[in-house]
Amino acid sequence: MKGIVFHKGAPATLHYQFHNFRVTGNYLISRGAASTIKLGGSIIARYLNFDVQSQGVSGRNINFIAFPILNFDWEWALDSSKSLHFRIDTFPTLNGIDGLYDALLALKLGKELFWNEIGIRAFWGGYSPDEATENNNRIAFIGPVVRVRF
Amino acid sequence: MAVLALFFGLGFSEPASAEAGGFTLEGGAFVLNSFSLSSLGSSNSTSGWNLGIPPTVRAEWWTDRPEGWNFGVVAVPVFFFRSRMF
Repeated sequence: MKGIVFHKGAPATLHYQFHNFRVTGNYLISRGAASTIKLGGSIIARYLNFDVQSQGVSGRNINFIAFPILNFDWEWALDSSKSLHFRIDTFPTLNGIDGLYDALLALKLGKELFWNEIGIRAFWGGYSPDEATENNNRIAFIGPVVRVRF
Repeated sequence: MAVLALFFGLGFSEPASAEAGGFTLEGGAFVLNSFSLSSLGSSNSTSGWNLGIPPTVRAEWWTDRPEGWNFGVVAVPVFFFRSRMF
């Protein structure tokens, strides 16, 4: 939004898209009596499109990027039909600010191929607001989810 | 109750084949959220957007091999529209 000035107190609208698609491969690295751990990686392709408009002035950014991220999947059996499931896809960074984090913590009901899950999804990332790039976008989303296996 | 019946009924139906993999659908709502845009180091450009409670959905397909490598594809559409006063 270089060179665009929005005025304080003016009405504004935001259209935001962050569609993403990923292909993941993970490998079973540990199987214990109660715990299984998988580690792998994904290629994530994401399309970003945001458009901020206020009083006839528009600030817009559209870009597409694909990059590798880590995949970690851990499951801990509570009994014969329930388990805790944690999965994260992440592009981690040393400062913990930049990057991408997509994490699920869920209670899995069922076993093997027959299950549903209920849990919490956290999806956050973006760029540090201190970086002097033309457009910085930061998001942090947390909420309950249900997952149905077909 | 109908929602619960759908949830459990669909999830415990038998997949066609273990090796063929299976689909997972996820739905929910981001009850906590924050969103900001900034530009050229101006840290307070457009923070404080009230997004309400945006829904979240995703579709996944994974192989079901008990050992070794598994593969999956995940599609996550993210779209919202909001208005506010700067």
